[in-house]
Amino acid sequence: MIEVKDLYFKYSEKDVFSIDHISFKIDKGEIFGFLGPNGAGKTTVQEILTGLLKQQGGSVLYQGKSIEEQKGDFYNKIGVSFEFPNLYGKLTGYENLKYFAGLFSVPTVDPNFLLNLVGLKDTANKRTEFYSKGMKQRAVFARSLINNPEILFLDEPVSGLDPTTAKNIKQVIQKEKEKGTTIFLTTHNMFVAEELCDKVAFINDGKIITEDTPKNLKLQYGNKSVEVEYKMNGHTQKELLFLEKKDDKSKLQNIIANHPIITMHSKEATLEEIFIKVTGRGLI
Amino acid sequence: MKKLWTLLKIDYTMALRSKFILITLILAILLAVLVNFVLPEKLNTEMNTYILDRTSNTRIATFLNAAGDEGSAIKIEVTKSEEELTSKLTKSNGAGVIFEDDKVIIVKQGYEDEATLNLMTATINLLTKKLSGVYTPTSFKYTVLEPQSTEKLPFNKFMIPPLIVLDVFLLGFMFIAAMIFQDKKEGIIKAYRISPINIFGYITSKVVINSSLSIALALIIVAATVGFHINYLHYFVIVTLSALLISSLGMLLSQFFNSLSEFMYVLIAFSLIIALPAISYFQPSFSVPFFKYIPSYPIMFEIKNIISSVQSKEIWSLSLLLAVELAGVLVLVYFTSKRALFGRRQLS
Repeated sequence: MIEVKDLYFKYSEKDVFSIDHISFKIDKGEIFGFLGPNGAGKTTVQEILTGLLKQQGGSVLYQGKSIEEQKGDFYNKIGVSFEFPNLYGKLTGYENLKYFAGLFSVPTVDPNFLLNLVGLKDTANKRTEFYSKGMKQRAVFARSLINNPEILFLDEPVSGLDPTTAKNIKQVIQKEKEKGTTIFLTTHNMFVAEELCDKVAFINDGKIITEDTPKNLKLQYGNKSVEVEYKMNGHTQKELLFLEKKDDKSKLQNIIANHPIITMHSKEATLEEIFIKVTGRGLI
Repeated sequence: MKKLWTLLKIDYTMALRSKFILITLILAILLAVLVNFVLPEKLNTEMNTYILDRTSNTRIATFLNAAGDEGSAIKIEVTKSEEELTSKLTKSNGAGVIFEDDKVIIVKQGYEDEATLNLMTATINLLTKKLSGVYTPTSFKYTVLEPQSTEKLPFNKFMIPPLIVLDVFLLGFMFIAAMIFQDKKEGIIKAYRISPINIFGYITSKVVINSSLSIALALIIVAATVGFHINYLHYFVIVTLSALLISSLGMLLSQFFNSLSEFMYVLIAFSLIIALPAISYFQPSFSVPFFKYIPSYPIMFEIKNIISSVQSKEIWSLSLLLAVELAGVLVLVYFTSKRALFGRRQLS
């Protein structure tokens, strides 16, 4: 569906590459997670893929056709949710979606249905200048679905949302996938990626460090661990022990045999831990 | 067409909610009140001349009292003493002339222009010639070069063309700039760029909505002050083309800036340039050839002709000129918008 080959980009001649010769492929109906810390180049890649930034080198192909050759109809097929909400503040949530729908040449979705989907039904007739940041973000997300897109670009879709709302949005994304929509999702939230993505690519300093399914990445890089809380000399102690390490294994046996256990949890490595392991840096 | 209609609806709603329509209506009422009730129909430019005759035989006073001031360009009143002359001068806009046997003393306010003083001197010379019997014309007649324009507009109506050019059209110029800055501030252009709209629709919608406000304002002002006896077809054509041209110029210039404060210098410079032809309008003798190339120059004079109900031969040639200028500006707006607003960022 989408094939990116040897893509690179720099914002000025003197700069280092913001996107440094990256390649990846997204199949139809797949959620592809582009994961990395702030400033890693995620949004830049999304802007090149949507034509907002001019491609400087490499190639971006949509069903074999270059982004440079795409005509206006291309925008009838895609939906984009920006990280920073961009709505007409003086228009209501409903008007923002209704008017945006009028710009497409394809059948569109009822704005009320979408606003209901993202929990904005009750504030549909309120001007968006009075929306909170999270409400604006949900409105922009709803707007990205107005034209029933074949490809959905989501830039940090749940960033800054409360857990209930974030869960709701994740369900909507999952439903879009079930409909066959191809989704390119950028985030620095590994839990979101883990929950939603079929495939993830770790990006750091403009380079793709690794790319695979979350399950394979865990198998490849993750170590099984146990977090144990126990009493020693009247004090509570806490240890994270990796079962694949011989020392940790015997230490765990020793704790169980000689100390009262308060809690003990087996742990699977998270994508975030794997990211730290492969890049040497955190996600924030 | 559906997309253009949607963009027009968006821009109309934005104009309404940003109070542009309200501002336009308030301005229309204010300008109509200004023309109808504040500005006088006639400016009092009459100059009184107070005469004091100190000559030995007071021939001048006797002559002037007998002749009166009929036909004179200056209203003349003979005073009896210097105190009376001084008192009248301090109370009114005028000058004093004291005739003595060997000289004439002119007492002026200090702000008279040279033309007025020359007129006074000529009148005194004529008076002395009459008294000495050298030259005795029996009547005065005034002729003008363009008899068509002899029907002078009342002062308040005379002010309408510059008000329309300087307030009404500039309003469209400012409103369109404000809309562009709003779109930039809210990131709307980015949203448009990932939708299938074309630049032409974006430009057309903004220019049409903001020009409509200027056109409506110009029509309301003239209808409320001049009435309905003028040629509204001519007026509508000139006003529409002018409003479209100036709004398009607003779009052309504003797209390179991000806020009204950044744009302020351009706005001031543009206003000054547009206002320059007003100097020639109020002082026809001050005609700088360069002024004629500023679009507001022919627009102002043509609106004056229309509201004076003067049949102008230039209405259609001016319309054609404005249409050509508009087309040129729109082509420029298209290409600059393509780069400045809708262009994909490249290397900076």
